[in-house]
Amino acid sequence: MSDFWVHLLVYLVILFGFVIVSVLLFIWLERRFIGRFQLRPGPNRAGPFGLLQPIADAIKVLIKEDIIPTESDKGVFWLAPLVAFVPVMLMFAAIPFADGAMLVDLNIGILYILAVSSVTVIGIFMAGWSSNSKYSLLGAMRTIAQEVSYEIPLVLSILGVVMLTGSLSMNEIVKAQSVPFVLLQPLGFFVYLSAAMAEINRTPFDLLEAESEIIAGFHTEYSGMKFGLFYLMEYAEVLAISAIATTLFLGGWQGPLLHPVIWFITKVLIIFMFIIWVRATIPRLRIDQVMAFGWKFLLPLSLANLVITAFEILAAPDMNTAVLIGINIAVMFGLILLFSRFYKLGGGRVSVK
Amino acid sequence: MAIKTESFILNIGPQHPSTHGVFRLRLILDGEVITDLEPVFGYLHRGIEKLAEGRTYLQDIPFTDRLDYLGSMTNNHAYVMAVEKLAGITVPERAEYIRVILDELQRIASHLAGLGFFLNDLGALQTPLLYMFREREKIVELFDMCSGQRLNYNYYRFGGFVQDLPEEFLPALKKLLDTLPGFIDEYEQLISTNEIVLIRTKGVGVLKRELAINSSAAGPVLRASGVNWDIRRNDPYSIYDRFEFDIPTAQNGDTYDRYMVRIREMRQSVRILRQAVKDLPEGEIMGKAPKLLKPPAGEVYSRIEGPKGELGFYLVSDGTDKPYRWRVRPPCLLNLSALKDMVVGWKVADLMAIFGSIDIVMGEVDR
Amino acid sequence: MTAVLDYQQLKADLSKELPGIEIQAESSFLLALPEDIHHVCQYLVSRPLQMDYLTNLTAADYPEYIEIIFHLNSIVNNTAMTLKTRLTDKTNPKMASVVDIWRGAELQEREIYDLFGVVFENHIGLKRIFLWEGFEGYPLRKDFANGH
Repeated sequence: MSDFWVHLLVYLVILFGFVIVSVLLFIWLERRFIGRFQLRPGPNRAGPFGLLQPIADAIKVLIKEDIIPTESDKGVFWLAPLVAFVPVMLMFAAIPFADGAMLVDLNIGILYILAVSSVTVIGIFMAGWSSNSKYSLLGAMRTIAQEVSYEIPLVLSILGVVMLTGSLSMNEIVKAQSVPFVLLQPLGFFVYLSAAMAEINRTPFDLLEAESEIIAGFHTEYSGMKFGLFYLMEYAEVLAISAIATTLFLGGWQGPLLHPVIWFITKVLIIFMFIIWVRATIPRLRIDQVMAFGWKFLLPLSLANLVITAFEILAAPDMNTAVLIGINIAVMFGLILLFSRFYKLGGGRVSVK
Repeated sequence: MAIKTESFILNIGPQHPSTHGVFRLRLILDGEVITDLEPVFGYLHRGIEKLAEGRTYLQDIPFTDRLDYLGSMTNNHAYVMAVEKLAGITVPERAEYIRVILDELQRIASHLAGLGFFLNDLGALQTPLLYMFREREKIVELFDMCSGQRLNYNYYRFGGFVQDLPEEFLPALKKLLDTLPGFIDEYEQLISTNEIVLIRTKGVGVLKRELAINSSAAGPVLRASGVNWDIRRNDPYSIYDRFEFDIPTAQNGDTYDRYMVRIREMRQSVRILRQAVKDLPEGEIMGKAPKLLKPPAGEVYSRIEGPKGELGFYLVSDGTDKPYRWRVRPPCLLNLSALKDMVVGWKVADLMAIFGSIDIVMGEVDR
Repeated sequence: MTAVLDYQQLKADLSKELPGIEIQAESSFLLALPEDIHHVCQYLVSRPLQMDYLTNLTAADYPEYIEIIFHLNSIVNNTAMTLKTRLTDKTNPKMASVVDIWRGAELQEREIYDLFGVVFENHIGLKRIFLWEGFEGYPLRKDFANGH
């Protein structure tokens, strides 16, 4: 029994430490990386290579005045950052860093993670509503539409992986990847990454906090530590998404020679770099285009993926892996090219009387 | 069963990252769809027209810099040309060529800034903006060489220029002209083939041809709606009739067309610059102008094609050294006349795209 | 090259089309009475002159009158002309708005109202444009002191 408590406490500390340090590292990495994309150095004053910049940001956020608008709904206003942040931390409980090295090896691992990640939407909506400001309200309305819609392709894209493994446990999924699932499920990977980027409001889906339109969306009225919690939540979500993508599709902690934890962190960083790359390059979509993309494009694709995977498992369970990979990649390109002809992205002008 | 909805009023207030200055828009929204729009001007009104009546003609030149502060050279040119017409001052050849060179450089710089901010409003973080500013920086350095300033140049004078171009100017300009077309191609390719930019700008905010003419739109906004009207071609001033260049127009009048017209205009400006640099004669740079200018009584309306459109000056002189009436025809304000027709029915996100494509500078709207 | 219209010819045409209208043709502009401006503008917009582009609409304050100046262009024919009118009643200057002929007059007429005090009848929303509501006086008039 005491083993259990020791294991729990050790992993709690490790996880908290890991998340906080990673988030600080990610903030620094993103700012430097985007700076290089934009032909400028990025922060390089605070500490060597600007490494202390996130700490400077954290201190600034902590000592700023906590402004609460008088017309806001104070209880909800106070709770919203917590409701948004805590579920993201809860997600890390079931992610394996090495074989068995996780807080608790749930046998419904991925289901737990998806369920908990949906609660952040409520926190964001609480923030937008309770601020009693029209910009926040616009941001909150967009949030509900976008985040709830993209849950469905997100879940469906993971089901292919679950079918191939035969189990929902995250550790089992990693161990079943003799060949990384990104090769066996390329369509699933594509749908997962797109839906995940929409869930965490990253460009091109970052219209929830589009600085050039609605100032800052749902967290316009927040300042001080509450804003700091939202900021932390965003980066923790990116970390979580990258970690889940690594576990499900890239083979988790598996890899030759090096220690599993190092492989895990490397793969997480690769996905994170890709997400930053997309952010620095592409403009953002409009809300009706985002909805069309989710419902008319990603959803049919993820359903098709599910059907094809099921067919492959039942009809040809012993096929040569290389042939299977080839077939899957070809099917993915074919489906994407075909589908993009058949739907219109977003409505046009609405006639106003 | 119809759901009961309520429209609400949103203030895109004077302080906003995307209003290109202090500009206020009152929107009446139905969800995300804009049903009505009311612009509120005047946050940058400094009373320039009244102030100019209390100062001499020469002292009014710095006021023109501060109108469209991203296009100071062309503002100076418009004013200086108007006074020269009023007072009958001739400008020597070399000064005319230098004026064309500076005007076209200013046009490129203004379009780079306008396009960069337009893409910024679409959401492409600041990456295209910084790429375009890299080139604009080279042009601003050239202007710094001549006039000593980076933003409000105050370089033109009645009859020409007080100081000739420094020696480093022409070699630096030639080097810039070699690299600039490559960069313009890079911008066009980087953005025009981007699927997201295309779906956010094609067909959005259409300004029809008749409405464009009727609401006194000018410049790229007018030309993107299919009207082939450019003061440099239709009513040539200075020595523009000696240069060969095309006037880019587009047919649909949507946001994408306004963007493309500006890119193509930059290419034509490079063409004019090449011809002007090749033919630049030696000679004096200042015509005969009295020290204290007292133009004979009369009036004049003279105009140029600035980067934002037709910039005109209407001056009335009563024979003294201070103008009696000093009026600026503001292209940015008149380009906004049809804003409501362009925007109603679209969403808030489109408002920023449409507004960015009209490319206004508040200094000129409010004066 | 933009051709400026021949004002004598224009005066003759206008006197024929709209009898009873007083028109004066000066060397560089056409002068009409404030009551007739709307009719004159409607004639100018129609064929064959087609002055469809209102380039500039402004005002100037002279000791006896407030002068309203229209600079018109024709995009199809590439011609230009100037039309003026003088409002002699400076305590209560008003005239008909031309916003139904040229949409571009909307903001410029609001500016003239704001800075000179000229009221344009049948305008679609005449109120101050640059100065705030509640501002007293009309700055661009000569009796409003410079540096006030």
